[in-house]
Amino acid sequence: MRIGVDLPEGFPAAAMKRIRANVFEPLSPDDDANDGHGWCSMLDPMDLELDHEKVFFNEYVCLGLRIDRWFVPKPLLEAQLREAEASLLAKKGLDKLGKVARADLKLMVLKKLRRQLVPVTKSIDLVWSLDSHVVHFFSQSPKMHLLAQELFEKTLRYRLVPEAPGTAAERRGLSAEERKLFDSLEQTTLAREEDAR
Amino acid sequence: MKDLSDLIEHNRFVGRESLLWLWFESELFEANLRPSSADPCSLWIETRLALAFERDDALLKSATPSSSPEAKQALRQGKLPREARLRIVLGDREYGCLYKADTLALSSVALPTELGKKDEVHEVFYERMRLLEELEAVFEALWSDFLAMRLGPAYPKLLGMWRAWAHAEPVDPKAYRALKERALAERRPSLAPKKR
Repeated sequence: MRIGVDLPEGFPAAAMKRIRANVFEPLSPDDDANDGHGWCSMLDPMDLELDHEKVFFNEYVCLGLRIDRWFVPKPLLEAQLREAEASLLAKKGLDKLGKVARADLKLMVLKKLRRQLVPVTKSIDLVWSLDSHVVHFFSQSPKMHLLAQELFEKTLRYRLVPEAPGTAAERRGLSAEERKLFDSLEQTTLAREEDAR
Repeated sequence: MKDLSDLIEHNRFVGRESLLWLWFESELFEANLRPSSADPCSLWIETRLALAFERDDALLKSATPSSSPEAKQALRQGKLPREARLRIVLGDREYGCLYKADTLALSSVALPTELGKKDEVHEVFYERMRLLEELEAVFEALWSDFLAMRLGPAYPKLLGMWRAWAHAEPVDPKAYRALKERALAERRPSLAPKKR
């Protein structure tokens, strides 16, 4: 991914402020959300006290994209839910719970179980070279790319341009004629008519 | 200027054609490539080659998948290389990577690092970035050369040579080199890569 603009003076201080504002916030078992993401130190995903030294390595801006997710094993959740449901039905003298009541109970059980667990943590390195304007994100998952791109753009307010043949050609500074030619290209085939016979 | 999503999605096949060109040059010049704005390098396909046409995919896995009869057969069926595991040698440094043509992305990159876990963490990082950027500069130079050929008047002749090569007919390396040199000499300055 690339950034197509030059950076203003005083960029590091302003960037640090925005990075700190988007640092990862640890998940709480009582939150409704099942996952969360934000920046962390590239060298230590558990380090959320980001400062200039931890982020700026000479001409590189180095960040970790930390993604935490609660993972409650399904059999455990189902067993606990069955138990809680039976207990509630007995207490209230009912035969069956309604959809909404069951969903509420499930969330309650989920939150209770989360207190006994720790979230699964994942961290992916992001390195932005201020010299070449290239941003490296070390994951091949399109979902993770989208997450990183959104957070990066929200945090630093620069649009990231993903690498693709079209953007890489545009970067070369095509003339209007070359752009028209590029747009009208048809896919090459090495098949000959006799190959189809 | 076009919308960014159009730029990204449009003509992704050009990335596959660039990989086809790398394969062609690698085979024609016995792996010795000469990007016009980077040092000469050796480049060849190893262990993995995926070819595709629409939803028809062929994955070839062997020590030298590009030299298997199935690889050329796939080209003759209209498939283009979608991704390939490449080995690149720059001087005495040997790199490996999976080149994904649709996004021009390098993944599973193997860098010839000398520093390790026992060394200072910042130095390890700088070494890795320096090596990665060296590798990317080679791909950037190769992409520029390919684009000049693809958008220039040399393309019909290049296509003829590609077809002959895919059909196991002789291709004269000297004639191809002359065609390429003319194409690169005639390209507009903006299409020429910047020296790093």
